[in-house]
Amino acid sequence: MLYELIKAAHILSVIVFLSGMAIVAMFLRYPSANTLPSIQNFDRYVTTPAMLLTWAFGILLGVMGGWFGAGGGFWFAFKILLVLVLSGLHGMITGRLRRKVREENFNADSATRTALPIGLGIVGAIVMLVTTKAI
Amino acid sequence: MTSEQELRYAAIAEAVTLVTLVCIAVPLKRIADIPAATSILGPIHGAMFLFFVWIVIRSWAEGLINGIGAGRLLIGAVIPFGGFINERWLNTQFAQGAN
Repeated sequence: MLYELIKAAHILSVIVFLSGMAIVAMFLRYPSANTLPSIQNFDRYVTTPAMLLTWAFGILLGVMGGWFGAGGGFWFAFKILLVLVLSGLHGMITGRLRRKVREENFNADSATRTALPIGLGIVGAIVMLVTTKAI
Repeated sequence: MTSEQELRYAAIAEAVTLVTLVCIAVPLKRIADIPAATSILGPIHGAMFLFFVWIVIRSWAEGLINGIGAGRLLIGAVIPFGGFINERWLNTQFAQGAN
C-alpha cells in the first residue's frame, strides 16, 4: 500500500514538473515583461520543488521495489538516463528564463525553440519504457 | 536568495555529503562492518550530486559561469574536498563580478 501511495505521489509530482516545464518553454518563445517574472516565481516555488520531489519519490520507489539491484533491467537504467537529460533540459530553460528576467530582455528566445519537442520526445520514451519494460 | 548564493550553497552541500560519505560512511562499512551507513548516505549524496549538476547547468544557461567554469565545478564535485575549493573560487568570481 505504501509503495502504491508513493507511486501516486511520484506521478503527481511528474505531472506538476512537466506542466511547469512546458509553461517556461512556451513563455520563452513568447515572452513579455508582465509574465516572465511571475513565471520565474512559479518555477522557483512550484516546478523546481516538483522536480526534486519527482527525484525523491522515484529514488524511494527504486529502493523499495528493488529496481536499483538485480530487479531492474536495462529499461530502468535507460529511464534514469532520460530523466537526467530531462532535468538538464529543465535546468537549461530555467537558466535562460532567469537570464532574460535579469537582463530585462523580452525578445523570443531562439536557443530554447526545440525545448518543447525534445522534452515531449523524452517524456514519450520514458512512458514507453515504464509501461512496457520491453528492453 | 540570489542565483549566485544558491550555486555556492549547493557546492558546499554537495562537498559535505561527499566528504561524509567517503570519510565516515565508507570506513564504517569497511572497518566496522556497518553497511547501513553507505545505504543511507549513498542515496542522499547521489540526490545532492544530481541537484548540484542541475544547478550548474542552470547557472551556465543563466550566464553566471562559462563552460570552463561549469567543467571545473563538475570535476571538483567528484573529488573529496574539491567542492570547498570551488565554493571559495565561486565566491571570488562573484565578488570580482560585483566590483
